[in-house]
Amino acid sequence: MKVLADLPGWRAFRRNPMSLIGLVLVAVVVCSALFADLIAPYPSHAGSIGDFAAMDAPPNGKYLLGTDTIGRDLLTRIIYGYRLSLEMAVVVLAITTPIGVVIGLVAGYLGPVWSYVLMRLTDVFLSIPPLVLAMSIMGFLEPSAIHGMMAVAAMWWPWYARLTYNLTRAEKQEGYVLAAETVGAGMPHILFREILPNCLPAIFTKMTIDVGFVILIASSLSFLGLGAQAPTPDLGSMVADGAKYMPDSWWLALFPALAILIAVMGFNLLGDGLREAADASR
Amino acid sequence: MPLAKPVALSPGDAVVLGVRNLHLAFSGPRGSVEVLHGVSLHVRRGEKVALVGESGSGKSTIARLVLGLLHDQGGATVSGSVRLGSREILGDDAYIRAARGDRVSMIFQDPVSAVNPAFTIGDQFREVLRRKDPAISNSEATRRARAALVDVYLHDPDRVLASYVFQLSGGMSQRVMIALALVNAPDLLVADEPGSSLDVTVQARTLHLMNDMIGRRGTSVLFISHNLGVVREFADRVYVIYRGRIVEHATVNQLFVDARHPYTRALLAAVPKLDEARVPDVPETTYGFANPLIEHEGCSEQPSVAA
Amino acid sequence: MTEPFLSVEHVTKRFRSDGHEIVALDDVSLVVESGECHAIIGESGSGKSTLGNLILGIEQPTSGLVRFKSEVVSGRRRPLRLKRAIQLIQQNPLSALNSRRTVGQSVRLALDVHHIGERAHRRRRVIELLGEVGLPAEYADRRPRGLSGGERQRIAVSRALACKPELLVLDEPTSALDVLVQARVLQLLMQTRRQYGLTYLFITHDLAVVRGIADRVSVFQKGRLVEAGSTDEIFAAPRNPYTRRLLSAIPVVTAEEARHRDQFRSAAEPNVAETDD
Repeated sequence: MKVLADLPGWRAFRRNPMSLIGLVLVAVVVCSALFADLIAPYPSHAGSIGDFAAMDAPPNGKYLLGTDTIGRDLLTRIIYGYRLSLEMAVVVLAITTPIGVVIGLVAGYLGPVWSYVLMRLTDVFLSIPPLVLAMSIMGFLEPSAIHGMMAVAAMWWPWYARLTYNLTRAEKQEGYVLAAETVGAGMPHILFREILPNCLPAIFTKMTIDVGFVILIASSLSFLGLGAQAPTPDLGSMVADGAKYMPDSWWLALFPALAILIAVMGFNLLGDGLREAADASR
Repeated sequence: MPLAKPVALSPGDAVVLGVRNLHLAFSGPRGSVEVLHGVSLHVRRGEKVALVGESGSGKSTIARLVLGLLHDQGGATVSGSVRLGSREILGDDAYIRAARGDRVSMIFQDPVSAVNPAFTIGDQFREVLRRKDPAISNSEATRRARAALVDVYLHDPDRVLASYVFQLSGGMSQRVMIALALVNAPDLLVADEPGSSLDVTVQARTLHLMNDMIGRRGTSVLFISHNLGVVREFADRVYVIYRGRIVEHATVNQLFVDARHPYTRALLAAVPKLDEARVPDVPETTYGFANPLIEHEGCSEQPSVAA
Repeated sequence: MTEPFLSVEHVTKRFRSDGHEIVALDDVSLVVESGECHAIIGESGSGKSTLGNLILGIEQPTSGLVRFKSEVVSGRRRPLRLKRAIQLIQQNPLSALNSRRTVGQSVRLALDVHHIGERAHRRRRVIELLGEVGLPAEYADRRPRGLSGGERQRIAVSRALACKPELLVLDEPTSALDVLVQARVLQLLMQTRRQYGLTYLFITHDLAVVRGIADRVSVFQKGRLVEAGSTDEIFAAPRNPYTRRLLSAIPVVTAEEARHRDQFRSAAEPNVAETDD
């Protein structure tokens, strides 16, 4: 991406070991998602057919992370689970980011009335705990992966609106905005060609960190039964299903939970590293 | 841990600050960059010495080095000698830290950012006074602080002592900074572009005041500036610095009447003149700017630097 | 008699801040003639920047009006052709250029907004404009990062010229620059003015600069216009005590200047004992 390539803060990024760990973890998640068909040991186990001969088996040589109650390889399901999680995150962010950013740009640039209205609107959304909000939206919809995505998307945009609003307010003070206004440029040009490019590093950083949090919220929804339904390999559902069998079949809940942890932590660390790199290149 | 107590300069020390052959290089992403190329300068007791240059010349870096404020920056390689009186201070961070505020004090360009906004002016004075005399009592400290503020012609010193720095106007906070810098009667004052953030009329008054107070106490001053007019009004002796090298060294009279180095001459020609109704001259090229040092008669350091 | 090029008529500007009211400009009237370099002199709080903002249309006067070639411009919406005619050179060269756009893009903006020249030729025009301010063609494709203050101000000039303006408001254009760079930029500014027949409104606190470039001077103190006249008059025989105080406070570098300035010093000694600031 052009923006990332511009950052001469790669050195700053490289210097921090945590960022590199983040990068590795994210690479693991992304590769799993992209190449699931190639690297999953038992791709057919992603559906509802398992190995009936090896049901509820603890981690062993054949099934590295064990199998679930109907004999499906856990490692395979986790890899496909990463694919689903990442798909959800990408879809959610692809929808919410443009909406939130545009609202934030307009509110930040225009006069007090607009910004008051728009910011109070986002306040409403931001004041409710994210999971509660997602759950209430799901109250109107039938549980499914798609509806889960829609619920998360609907409540996520205010964060971007708020971030972009603050960035726009700050950039508005800069001389180049005054210069563009004096030359006579219209508002669309000023918002999207002048101000937005200066906001992008922060927005991209937030998006990176948010991938982890979207995965977490989506997993929480499906943990509660409100997201993806069986037999879709969803990390949250797997934790919910496996929790019933604790502590005997401990692997059923533990490994999916660890998988979620790795994804969230990885994107968090990567995002922090990106933020440092962006700051260094200022 | 007891810090090395700074030794007061004995009356016999003619040279208060002696910098010899100072080299400074920073290691950056593209290798080592030399910022100071063998700078030598000295300040005698009671003298006001100016260091004049444009931005990037290294003048502020020298001030920070003398004050020991540069070691925090990683990757700095320093060599040469910096002496305070007879004491070598380059690299001796402990000594310099103890000396700051006591034997050596400083005034910065922007008074507001140099003073801690979380403390009142009175608190700042008490802290500074304690650096010299750790056992000083609160009442004695307040008395001295009040006297210092009266010295800088601030009416209502008690109100100022109870205020925070952001509650004062630019001119007033500059005066407070001068008072803070001089309250411990330091041997050397390092002033980095003092008053340059102030209006012209306020700056004029402030510089007059500083001159007045320094004269009374016999403090030596190393004065960093980019403004030749201010240097002419205020300094006794001048060093002109260009890209990390001293290029001309003269007394104020010598420099402004008979500047010899091409860079100095270019600078003086380029300053807009009050009595000329045209745009000032500036040479097309920088030819001759890197010529070696021209030192005017009677300026070189006396050999009697105490061992 | 021809209409004045720019006239400010009984303009007052009040701001509300933290509950109290600040009068930035108090019943100010002045006239700028076509083709002249008119200096606005003042220290902080004088209202000089507010005046610039009013003329540019960034702010609106609380009362009074601003006329440009007998057309009232201090209304709400300023049409594009008026925006084009009045351009700005800012004080801070660092913030005036968008670090995320190339120099060429920033200069080209004016051409695109006002549909100057054919699209296909605009890139060439940008390179021409850069050349007029002494910058090489390669600069069109680079980002501002790493450029010096002097170079950035040159770019600001070429960006202003792209509009083919009539009036240029310069708000402390050289105050943030080193001495040598300042002299070069001043030379460029004066040369540009001659070449294009522009009118300048030069806002500054630096009287020595004014001496060298201005035809007429208006002196502002705390929102009021306290003295106005030709440059020669103001410097030879300033009448207002504030003007005299300003002149007497300037640090100078030659003995001749000092002699000239010191005439005003005896009448307005920089009194060390003054405490109000």
